[in-house]
Parts: sequence; C-alpha cells; structure tokens
Amino acid sequence: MVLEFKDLFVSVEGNTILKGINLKVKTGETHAIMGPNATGKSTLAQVCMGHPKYNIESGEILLDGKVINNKSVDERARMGIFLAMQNPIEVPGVTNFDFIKAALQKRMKKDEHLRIGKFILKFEAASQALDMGKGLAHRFLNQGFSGGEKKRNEILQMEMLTPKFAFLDEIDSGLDVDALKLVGEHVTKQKSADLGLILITHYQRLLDYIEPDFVHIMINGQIVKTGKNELITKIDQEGYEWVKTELGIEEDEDKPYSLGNCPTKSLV
Amino acid sequence: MNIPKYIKNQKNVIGFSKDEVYNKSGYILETDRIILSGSDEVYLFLNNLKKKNIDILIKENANFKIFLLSYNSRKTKINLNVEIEANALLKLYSNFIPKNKTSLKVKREFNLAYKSSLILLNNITYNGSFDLIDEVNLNQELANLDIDLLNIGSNLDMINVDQYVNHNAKRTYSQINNWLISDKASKLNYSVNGTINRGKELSNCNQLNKGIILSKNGEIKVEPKLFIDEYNVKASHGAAIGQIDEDQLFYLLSRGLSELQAKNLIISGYINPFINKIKNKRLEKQLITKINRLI
Repeated sequence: MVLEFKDLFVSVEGNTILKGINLKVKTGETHAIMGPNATGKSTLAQVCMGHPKYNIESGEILLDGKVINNKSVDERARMGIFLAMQNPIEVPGVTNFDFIKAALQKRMKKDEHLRIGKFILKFEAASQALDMGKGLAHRFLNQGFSGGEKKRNEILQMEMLTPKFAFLDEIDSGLDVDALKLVGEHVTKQKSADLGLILITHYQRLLDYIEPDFVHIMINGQIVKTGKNELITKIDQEGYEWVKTELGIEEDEDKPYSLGNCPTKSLV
Repeated sequence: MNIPKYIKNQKNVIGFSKDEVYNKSGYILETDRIILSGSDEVYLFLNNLKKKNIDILIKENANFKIFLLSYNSRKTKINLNVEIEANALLKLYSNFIPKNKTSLKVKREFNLAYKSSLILLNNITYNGSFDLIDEVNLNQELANLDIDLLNIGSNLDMINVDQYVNHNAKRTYSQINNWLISDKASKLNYSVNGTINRGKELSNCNQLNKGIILSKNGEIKVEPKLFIDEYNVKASHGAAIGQIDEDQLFYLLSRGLSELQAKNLIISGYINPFINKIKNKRLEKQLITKINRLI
C-alpha cells in the first residue's frame, strides 16, 4: 500500500501551516520527519488522521491512489491509518480492554467474530513486553497514567490494531532512557512489510532504536531535504541552522502559530 | 399487593400501597415506622402511593443496605425521615420508577448521630416531573455522608433537586458527586448546598457536579453553594457542564470507533462508576437497560 501527500496546503484558523507537502510512504518503509518546533510536523500527522480543526486548502492525501481528503476520522482509521499521539487523551470510566475490543470489533466484517481468548493473550503479552504492569486491561484509558505509560499505551494500541500506516508523533517525549529503549525495540519488532512507519521527532535518540529508511527535514511547513542516516548525525551535531543556510531558507515572516505545547518532562 | 417478582423473591421486603402494608422481614414495622437493627439488606417497595410519610430508624451499630424502589403512575408525594444512630451505617439506593409520565415530589430528611455513616446512591432516570429535596444533618462528631447521584434526563423531563448538607457538629464529613446527563429537551436544575456552622471545626464539605448536554435543547443548571461560618475547615465545590469532549471524541474515532460508538463509550465511562457502586446485579442491569432506552 502507498500513502501519499500531493502538494498539500493546510491551514488552521486562517494560518497556513503546511505549504506544499509532497511525500510518499510505502508499507514496509520507515520514514523519520525531523525539524525545529512549530514547523508543521504534528499538523501533517493530525491532518492525515482527519482532525476537524485543520482545513485542507489544496492538495491531496491518497491511500493506494484513492483520495481520502473527505473521509471521516474513523473511516481513515479503519482504512489502516494510525496516529500515536503526542498527548494521549484521558477517557475516564472507559477501560483499556473495552476500548481496544470495541475498536477491533468495529474493524471486523459482519460475519467475523472477535476471539476473546486470543485477544486477551495478545493484549497481556503486549502489555508485559511494554512493562505496563498487571491490570492494564481494567485501568481507565490513560487516566492516572504517567507520561511514559501513556506513550507505551499508544504503542500497545498500535500493536493490537495492526494499522497499515502509523504516525508516531514525538513518541520519545516523556520517556526516560530505559523506557525509550523499550519502546524503540518494541516498535522495531513490529516493523514488517505490511506496516509503513512515520516517526516525528526533534531528536536523534529515538532513531538510535528505530532505524529509518528515509529522513526528511521539515521547515516552515515544507519538506526541504530528504536523505538517510547521515542527516540524523548532522542534525544531532549541528542542529537545523545549516539546513537553512545551505538552502537559503529565511525565517517565516508570519508570527509563529502555536498549536499547543509539546509535552515535557520536568525534573523535580 | 402487586409486588414485582424480583422484589418479592428477596429475603426482606417491606411494601406500602394505598391500602395495604406488606412485611416479609424479621424487622419491626410500627404503623409507618421501620426499625432496623443488626446487619442486613432490605427492599422497600412503594406501590403507586398518592401521599406517604415513612420513618426509618437505624439502630446503634447496625449495618443496612436499603433498596428503595417506588412505582408511580399518578401524582405522588413521599416524605421519608431517617434516623441513624451512633456507629450505624446505612447504604440507601433509590430508584423512583414511573409507569406513566407523572409528577413526583420526594422530601427526605436524614439525621446522623456520632460516627454514623450514610451512603446515598440516587438513580434518577424518571420520565416526567420529579422534585427531590434531600436534607442531611450531620448532628454529632464523625458523622459522615457520601452522595452519588446519577440523573439522566430525556424527552421533556423536568427534574429539580435541592440538596442540603448541614454540618452541625465538629469533625463531620460530606462528599456529594452529582453526575448529570441531559438529552432531548430535558431540564435538570440542581441546587447543592453545604453549610458548616460556627464552631464546627475540622469538618470537611465537598461537592462535585458534572454535566453533559447531549442535545441542542437540553439544559443543566447547577448552583453549588457553600455557607461556611468557621475558619478551620476544608470545603470545595464546583460544577463542570458541557458537551462531549471533542478531544476525547477525536481520540476514540482515531482508533476506528464510529461516532455513535465513541459517544456511547464516553457516556458509559461517565455513568459506570455510579453503576459499579450499586453492587446488585439485577438493579445494575435494570438501570443499564433504562439508560439504553433513554439515550
């Protein structure tokens, strides 16, 4: 399968955030999108998922050649798109178990039935592998979870729902070194010819554990450079200024538009 | 008396109808006064009464669970007075079930003695007009109260609830949790009042009100009020009313749930904590069925 963005322009509340995105991701590939803050990386993921806040001004999102611009959020999810969110939402009173079970059942054809025993075994195994502790199934969705637990729960959902294309939006933020290694290795295990991964990150550290096939640098709402691992090393050593200098990119004259804050971990 | 089978089959049943009193329990029933001692579970059934005063006495050290179930098909007025003696515990679940859309007025007064506890679970899924006044007097030290109320309004329901908690002694505790859902053109009006009188120090009075409005014409109005005349106390109150959280909805949709499924899941998450507290499979199922019919 192929997920493709063609000359995509997107705005939110009158501010244009994405300014002509062109990107093609095939299942089996892992892409990393890197870039400074507020350049539109998360917007790309949210737009692909169909968040109603964003307005596609022009351009297309295609899944296997079919335009999905007008598909609803849930339709896109059932078509195989997944977004591991930067700030996973808490839903009190809804257990992880009921939630994932309902999501899986909704994906099934009318004559299919969820095999509960098999489902429980897979859930428990994934939960254990991600060090989520006992009783995760009966905990309310993300409620009272630490930042790291929320991120690991996103990865667990990805494993359970087996999407075709998954955006991991700053999945590394809020994770300590050990948790990052655990998550990175777990995601790497899920890599397959049936899964296209799009990793959104500021830093190299996540990419130490999940090796990308392609690295894209995004600045001012555009993908300005594409390469491989050598880009990661250079960004880690020199930041993003060299890209701007090399390509003659000037700072956007528009005032930066804040879509919210990236989650941070503070030291107590 | 025409008592539903599932109630009649219970061990302890006390029933009142217009001209009949039914007592299938080992407990004393003096005219309209029920005296409960020891530790047990009692079903109190009110069958289509027009007007009724009932007194309940929970004796010292007693531990009781009462399921108050009332069937109404006409205008009804019920007054309930409950005395809870020292060290006693009463858990009262109430459900007023209309057979037709009708008007119901219920006034309840609870008086709590030293170290006694009252847990009120109020299920309000009433079709029609329902006025409830609950007054709880924490009269002696260490008396404590927990109220959980679930109100689901639908159609043209008009629900008015006044809650009064009076901390009349030192070191008393109260917590009110109201969970309100308004669908269609239902109107839910709540006045939640907590009073700590002067000198009743180290008391703790809390109110939490949450409301979800599911329709354009639904209405929820909550007035959380605290009247505090003492410095050395803890008190909190608040009301959060709105529509279904858009972020929660997007999150569930992004996993492939349909909008209807996602909304149902969010609502069930909202009401499940109340249902889980009932601890009676039959009544839990009855409530879930009713909710599914209403919204």
